[in-house]
Amino acid sequence: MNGKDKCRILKDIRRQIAEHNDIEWVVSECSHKGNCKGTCPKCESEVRQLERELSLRRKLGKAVAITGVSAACVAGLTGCSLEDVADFGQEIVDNIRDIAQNLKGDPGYVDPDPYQLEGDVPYIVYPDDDLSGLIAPYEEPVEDEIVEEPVEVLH
Amino acid sequence: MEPVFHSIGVSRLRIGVDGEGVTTLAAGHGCPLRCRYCLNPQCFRSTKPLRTYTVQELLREVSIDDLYFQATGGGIVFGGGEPLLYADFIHAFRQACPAEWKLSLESSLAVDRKELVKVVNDLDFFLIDIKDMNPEIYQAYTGRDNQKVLLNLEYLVHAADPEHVCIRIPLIEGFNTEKDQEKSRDILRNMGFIKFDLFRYDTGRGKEKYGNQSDTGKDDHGSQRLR
Repeated sequence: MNGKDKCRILKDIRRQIAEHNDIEWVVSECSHKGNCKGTCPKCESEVRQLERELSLRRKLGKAVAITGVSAACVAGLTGCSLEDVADFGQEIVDNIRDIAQNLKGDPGYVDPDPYQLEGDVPYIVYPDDDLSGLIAPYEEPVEDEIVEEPVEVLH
Repeated sequence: MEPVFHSIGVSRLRIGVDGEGVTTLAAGHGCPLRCRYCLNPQCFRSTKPLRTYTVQELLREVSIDDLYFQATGGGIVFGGGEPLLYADFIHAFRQACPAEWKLSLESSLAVDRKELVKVVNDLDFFLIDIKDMNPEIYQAYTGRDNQKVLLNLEYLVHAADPEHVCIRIPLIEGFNTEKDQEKSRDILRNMGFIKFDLFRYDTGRGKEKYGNQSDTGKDDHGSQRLR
């Protein structure tokens, strides 16, 4: 799934929430170029607007329906359905790279993450990082230390 | 003392990678394992976490996506690193966050059982990365034995609804084979687990984050590869 797909799904979710709550939902077309993670100012402002409308409905004593209204939007997209992460990821990477090649330098261009894997977070290296395998201070004490052994190369 | 969460990152608006619905991944710093191709090596390579949160601070930060969580049945996924190092925090977070939010755990279970017991009733879904059930393969890949994992699996299959537990069994280049994956699944099925995800682990992603091994001049873990 690339950023544009994600943006479209989130837009759909917002639209469905609005429809379920009889909120007149007219949004202008997003002019952002390149892939989006759904966190651009336009998407964020639409969420805030929706929240305000829902809050108004509550104050007027009207029923508000949110829970599960868009579950179908994302059903079937769970990670457990991905059989081959490497191949799937590579296709996404190639697709994103093609798009990135054409869009770099555009104002507002957001360099997309090639693909998300389960549990993956961006790696930020601190200037004073010791990259020689320092053990973090927050782990549990280890009873048996690892003894380094030569790495055997598979044939 | 109020529990805190030492984080290596909070990743918003995740769809289809960490369970159902739209989720936010809160990744914890620190891990008892040293997996050869760890996806988030910053959890033990960096000297400090990215940020430390109190329960209220994390709640404030992730609440920005409350609408998506409720609409899609999503919520917060605790990962890392090893999130069970923050069992007290997760328990406190459950008490503070909206009841509609789903809380999920991505864990290797390589911790003392008491940590799992603290949170088993607070979590809606468990994604367990088992590596491999063969103890030699496990030791070779992670640098640790899998005794704690086995004890926690025995506990989890009875303490949680197996419908809400997905065991992920990776095919790891150079360490196990598809036959090993299937053997692991058979063992886990006999234990009572019913949901599995057998997949090919993208070792390239971990290598990207490690950078060039020649920069450090040595293999970081000294892990042994099997023939």
